[in-house]
Formats: sequence, structure tokens, C-alpha cells
Amino acid sequence: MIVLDPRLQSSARVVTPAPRLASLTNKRLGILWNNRLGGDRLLKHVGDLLQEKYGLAEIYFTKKTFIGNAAPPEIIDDLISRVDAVVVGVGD
Amino acid sequence: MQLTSKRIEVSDALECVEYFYRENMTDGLPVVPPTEARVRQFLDAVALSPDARIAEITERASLITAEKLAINAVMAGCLPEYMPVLIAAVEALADPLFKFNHLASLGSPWPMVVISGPIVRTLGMNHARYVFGSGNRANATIGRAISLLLWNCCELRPDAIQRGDLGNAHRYSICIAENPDTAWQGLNEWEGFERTTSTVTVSSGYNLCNARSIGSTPRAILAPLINALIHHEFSPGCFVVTIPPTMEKPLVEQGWTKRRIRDYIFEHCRRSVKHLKETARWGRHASVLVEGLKDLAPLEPGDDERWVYLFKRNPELDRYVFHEGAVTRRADILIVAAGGDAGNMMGFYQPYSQSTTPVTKAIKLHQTVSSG
Repeated sequence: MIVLDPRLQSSARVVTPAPRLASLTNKRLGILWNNRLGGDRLLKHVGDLLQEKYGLAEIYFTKKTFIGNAAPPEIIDDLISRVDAVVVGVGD
Repeated sequence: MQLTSKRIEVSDALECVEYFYRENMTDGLPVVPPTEARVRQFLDAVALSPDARIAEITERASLITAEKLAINAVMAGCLPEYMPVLIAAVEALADPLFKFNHLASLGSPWPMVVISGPIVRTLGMNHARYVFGSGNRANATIGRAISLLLWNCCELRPDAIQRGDLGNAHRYSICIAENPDTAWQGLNEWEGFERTTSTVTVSSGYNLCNARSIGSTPRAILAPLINALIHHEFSPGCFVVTIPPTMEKPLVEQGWTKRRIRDYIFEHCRRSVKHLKETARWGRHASVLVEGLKDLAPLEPGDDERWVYLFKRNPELDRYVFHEGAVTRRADILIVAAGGDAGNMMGFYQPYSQSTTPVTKAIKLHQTVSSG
């Protein structure tokens, strides 16, 4: 008996990662908060740590309204125009 | 056209079941072996080629093809004629308004599927006694097909992105139908479609709650429902409420439409600031975190006369009780005419606390050619 695999093959996932930066030094860092309570504090601390370790040119902090879906195009475009790298995550 | 999924050789159906367990391709229950012949029957039922794109769930970068949907539908025990319903359900789940990633939440939300319109009769779905299950094939397997699809194609598994603390008993399957002969407008019409158009609504929530009423006047019928609505999560959003024929009849006879019921519920769902403080719902889950609040918030004079409404906004008080994502989303009561004909039980699906809203899609029956 031959049966078929119900899972998505990895090639079906359409993810294209952004080019990696060689270093964060003197780079503009964006931080995208998912608007979950307390996440702003955690992410600001992450920004402070990265600033201390790498010497960033600037930190741009912004947020999306909802945790539950991808950031809307206007937020993505804003980040693209302002920064070289973005810290983003999902969680509580 | 060729099916492109990986082919797996097994000796018989039982070995198939064991293989799927070992490979973590099932929800914990046995599956129907998805043979090529059976999968093709499902594709033929909607005249779709295997690579036809059903929807892309952007948040998971998951492109759902007809082939993957059909395989998971076969596994769930569906019949080919359920495919148009499943296609509409996947389109709804992929809609940006549904905000798919909330399904990873520690609250363990899960989408309920609600079918409205003439297809309920065509597929023999249950809208009456035991509407939430079990026992009806279409109800049970349509819900499970969605469950398996998200398990296998969207990483919604406890070992992947699903991070629920408790899990959800509805995770296996939750699909209900509305009485197509209801005297009210159907859920399909409420959501902007014609009565002759069958629809699928997906609505994400935590659990089924019930409200028992033995009243005969509209206010007496609805009072226990309102009490139940305000004493669960107390978060604004869209509540799917089932009202059985035994209650629909007196409500209709006394001139209460779905809209009038909705408006009445909106007006009366409220809790006092005093009660919210006494039940640790003040300054905890909201846009404002009250600093240093390790115990119950202190009461102030007048707290028992200040009211926070579930469905009417007052930003001054709301910000201490509700998350921004909850107060800015659609708030509504989606009444579904469903339930047993002998009793007094209303039900509602407690919506996820923030960010998602129900999505309704039309079932495109013209896709169906023949189920054989």
C-alpha cells in the first residue's frame, strides 16, 4: 500500500531571509515590539545590551498593534527606510 | 497531473496508522490511510489539480495546496463532498483578520468552524441535539480535517509553535452547523451573504460554555446568558452564541430579532470596578499595568457605581481592564440557531482574549462536479 505524506515539504515554504550583516557596529537597529505586556521592557533591555556590546549608531523602537499576525506593510516599509537590522520576536 | 507528496510504502492500513504515529503526523488518534486513489477522489470532487493554490497562511509561510488539503481530509475521515467546505475554511483561516499566529498562544485558543446555509441540509450536518458533538460524520471530520491540516502544514503542534499551557479539548475537532430553517436571519446573512449562499465562519476561542435558562420572556431567557458572558474572560470581541429552537420560538414570537438580542446583550454586559478589583481583573491584563500591584487593587469610594462594559467603550476605565488588541477589534454577538429541542441550554464559545476576529467565507459549490 502506498500512502501520501500530509506534511508540507520544506520547498513549499516561501521564506527568503534578509542578507546577514557582518557586524552591528555603527548600524541602525530597529526594535519591533509585538505589544504584549512587558515586552517593551524586555526589548529595550535587549537594545541596551546590543548598544553596549556593539556600539550602535542608533536604536529605533516601534510596535505593531497585534501580536497575532505579521506587521503590516507600512510598518515594514518604515523599518526598511530607517534601520539596517531589526530585532523582532513572538512571545510573552 | 502528478501528486507531488512524498510516497510512503506500508504493508497495510494498520501499519500506516502506526507509521503516522511514529512520524508525528497525527493528532493522537488513528487516521484513514491517504492513498493516492482516495486523495484523487477528493480532488475530483472539486475539479482541482493537486497544485491548485487554496490559500497562503502568510504568518507561517505555508502555501496550502489542494493536494495537502485533500490528504489531510482523507486522514480525518471526510467524504469528498466536504471539500468545498474545507476550502472555504482554509480561506478564512488565511485571512489577515484572523491573525493566525495567535493560535500559538499560551491560552490554547482554537478555531471553531460554523456552517450556515443550505449545505447544512445537503451534507446532513447536525444543528440540533448534541450539536457540539459527537456523532455526526460531517461535523466531526470537517473539524478534524482542519485540525490535522494545521498540525501537518502550519506547525501548530505542541512540539512546534503551539505553546498552550492547558491545551484545548476542541483541538481535535469543533464544527457546528446552523438550522437552515431558522426563522431568524442565518449567520450567513448576518455576515453579509444571501440566505441561499452557504458559508463557513471560523471563530477562535477557548472553550464551550453553557447558560441554562427556564424563562419565557426575552429578558428572563437572556439574563443567565448575560451572567455567563460577563463572568468568563470578560474581554471584548465576537462571541458565537447558540440558541436552541425552544428559545428561538418564544423570542421570535415576541419580536426579538438577532439584532435586538445583540443590542440588548451589548447594553447589559457590565461589571463594576469594585467587582473587577475584587476578582483581580484590574490593572493586570490590560494596556495599563498598575505598578506594584502584587495583591488586589485597593478599593476606592464609588467603585461599586462605576461600570466597565464588555461591548461599550469608555477608554478611561477600559485601559485598566482590556488589552488594546481587544477593544480595537470587532465586537459582536454571532447568534447561531442551533441546539436541542427538549431543553433550555444556550451555548457560547469564549473568544480568544485579543487580536483575532471571526472570518466568514462563501462555500463555492460550483467547484463541485461529482462525489461519486
